[in-house]
Amino acid sequence: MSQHLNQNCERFEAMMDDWFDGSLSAAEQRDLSEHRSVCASCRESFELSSRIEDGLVSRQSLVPPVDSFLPAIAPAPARALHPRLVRVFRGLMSPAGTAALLVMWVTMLTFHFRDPIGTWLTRFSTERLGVVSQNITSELIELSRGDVLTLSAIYVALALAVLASTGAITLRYIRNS
Amino acid sequence: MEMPHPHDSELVARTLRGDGRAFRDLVERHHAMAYAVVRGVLGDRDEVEDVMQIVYLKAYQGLASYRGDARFSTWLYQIARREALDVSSKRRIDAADIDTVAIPAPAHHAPDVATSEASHREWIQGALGEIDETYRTAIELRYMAEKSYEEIAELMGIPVGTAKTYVHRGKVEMKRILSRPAWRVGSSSERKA
Repeated sequence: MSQHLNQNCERFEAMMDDWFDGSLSAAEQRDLSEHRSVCASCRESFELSSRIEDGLVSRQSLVPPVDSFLPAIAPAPARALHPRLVRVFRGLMSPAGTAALLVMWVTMLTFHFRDPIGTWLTRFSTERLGVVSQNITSELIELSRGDVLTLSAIYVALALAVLASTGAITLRYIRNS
Repeated sequence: MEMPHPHDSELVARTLRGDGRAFRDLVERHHAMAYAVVRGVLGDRDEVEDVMQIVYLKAYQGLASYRGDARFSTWLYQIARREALDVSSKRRIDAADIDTVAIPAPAHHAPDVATSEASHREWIQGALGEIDETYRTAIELRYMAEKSYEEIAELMGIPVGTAKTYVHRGKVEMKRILSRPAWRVGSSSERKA
């Protein structure tokens, strides 16, 4: 008798969640109600579970309004850059990348203003390319079509580097802001 | 005629175009869930409000990186949980720095008559604060955010059966705690007698 009651008590405990979820069949509900009426310990357990259930259900009312947590929203968040572009910019932001960019910047400026470093670099590149120039600062350099193309490529590469470094700086600014 | 609710992805796109109202609508839709997660991890601590603000700020700032691979709710859940755990771990470190003594169950959590709404809430909150964080999160999602077991499972990345088990075990734990003499309803008057 006692063992049978214990089995019923275990079943009662196991099914209580389903009772509160409303997922028990009519027959199961009847069984549980009957057991509750004859078992004082399960009745007490059910009452405690009911109080807990009521307390949990009422927790919906504890959610505060969303507006109290929202940040002041002004501009739209920055759109994500393409991952490959981000990788390129990350590379440029590394110490080696930054140093390389700095060298390229200086080189491009010196080329542009024809200062001594630029002159030296021009002489170096033309001599390497086999072009003879006696007075590089006062005379026009006579370059072959191939030389012009090579120097143009250098200029294009430098221009791209400038663009990339600008992008890297912009990315750094976005990340910091 | 009632306007159909826009999909989360549409609200994300509108937010990225600068529509602040769309972000509010998006967040409001999942607010109870996010709040439940933060409460699940941190309990009834003072930091909950601050963490919620950080969660929404990070969600806003990181919205451009949200690519729609997972549901927006799952993405927001992860942000909320990460931020709450971050604060929770910092708190644990702070607590470890000072000498602590065992604090007995607070007497005020065992109201003489747990019928008034406020004391009943306090009674429940006290027990919730003592159970395992995972169970508490599942319970808060179930009751505070009114999520189904399927939704809880998806958010927490667990099978539905496990979500049910978490909620069940959490409630069993609460029952065990609230059955202790110090927590039992009417215990004060019993002790006086």
